[in-house]
Amino acid sequence: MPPSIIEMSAEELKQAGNKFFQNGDWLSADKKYSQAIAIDSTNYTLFTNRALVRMKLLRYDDVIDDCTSAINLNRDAMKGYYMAAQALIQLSRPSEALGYAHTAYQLAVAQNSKSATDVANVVLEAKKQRWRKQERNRIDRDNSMLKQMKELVKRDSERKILDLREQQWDSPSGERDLESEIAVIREDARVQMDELENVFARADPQRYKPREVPDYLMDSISFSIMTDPVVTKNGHSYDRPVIMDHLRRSNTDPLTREPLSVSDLRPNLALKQVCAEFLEENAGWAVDY
Amino acid sequence: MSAVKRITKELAEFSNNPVPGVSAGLASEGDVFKWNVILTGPQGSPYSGGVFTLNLTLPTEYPFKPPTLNFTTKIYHPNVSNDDKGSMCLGILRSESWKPSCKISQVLEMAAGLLKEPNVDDAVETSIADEFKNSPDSFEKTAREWTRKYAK
Repeated sequence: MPPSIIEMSAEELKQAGNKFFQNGDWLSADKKYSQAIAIDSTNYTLFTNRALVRMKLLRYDDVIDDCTSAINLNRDAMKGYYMAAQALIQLSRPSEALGYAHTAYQLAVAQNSKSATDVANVVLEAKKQRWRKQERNRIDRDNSMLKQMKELVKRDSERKILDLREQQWDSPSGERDLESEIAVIREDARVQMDELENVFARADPQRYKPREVPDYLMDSISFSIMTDPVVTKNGHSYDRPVIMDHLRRSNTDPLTREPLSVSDLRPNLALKQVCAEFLEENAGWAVDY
Repeated sequence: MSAVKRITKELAEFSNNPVPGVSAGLASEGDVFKWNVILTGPQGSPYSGGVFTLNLTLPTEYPFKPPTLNFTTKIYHPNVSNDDKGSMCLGILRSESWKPSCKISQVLEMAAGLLKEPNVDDAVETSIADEFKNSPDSFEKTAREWTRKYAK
């Protein structure tokens, strides 16, 4: 190791890492942050910075490790929770991601962070992924049940055909048209199986439910479903990150232009509950609606 | 990113529920921030029989910042700047009075309404506004002439 590096402080190494990061040199940035951590393992921003680089390098397990270290050093490290949630989504672990995303969102709101909207989107992304997973499981379950029942119908018809052939063998009679009787049995089985498929399709609520998010769950600025609705003095509800974005630019009510500040906002708990329940059942498509 | 989502929705909503006398669509596929708008001159107004094209431009910060409307067809109107920009000055489009819950279709409705009835109290061309108030016949004559000359 050249002496100059030994003399560099953790802060200097961090700055060097930041420079590599800005230039898109992820590998060198990762190296600098690691050297900085080797000197000073108590600075949580070194871990969040390295987590961001490792996100770029698609090393999601390492991202989660660094985020955990950052959170252990600083319970309010919003970025740590935020990036952990993103990495967990990449690893298709939506339920774990959701826990981190919720905490990140609460911290972002408390810190009046500009990232609140992005964090809220990660919450939705995790919900969407979780919904899709559950939906896939449900379809697989339904499909295996349908398969089993179709198998029963098939076996039943085969048994009937076998009986018929045995009867014919025991007491042959030229009168009976064996082949056409068998054809009838097969046709009955086919109709039964079609009917089964129809019944299962009708039992699938997703097929028959209209895919629409009701207006009262939609934020009237972002036109997206709300996750954290707050109510203004005139009784209108908006999604918290969206109206905070607006209030950062103009301290006015978005509808009446009367003076309005963040401290005037009150959570709309009942509406929040309705939105959460709606997402629980429909997140797979409602997030992008 | 959230701007694109909202604008895309507004475009779909507008196609399903168009404003009478207004047609609008993207100027080019893939760029939701620029719309082409066509207003037809309302019956009984000096703009009757004319077809006016406008550019609607949405800022990247939409809907937190207002859209801008510019006539590309020359028009003699108190609320449209008589220059190469043809800016339409609507009260609701000023950044100090813009409301983020206001939709593009409401903006276009307002624009169409202004052709029917100019708003002289909120005029950008004060001399045309004065003429409109004090000698409506002469205003109508010029407006009609310009419509025939530029908007047909």
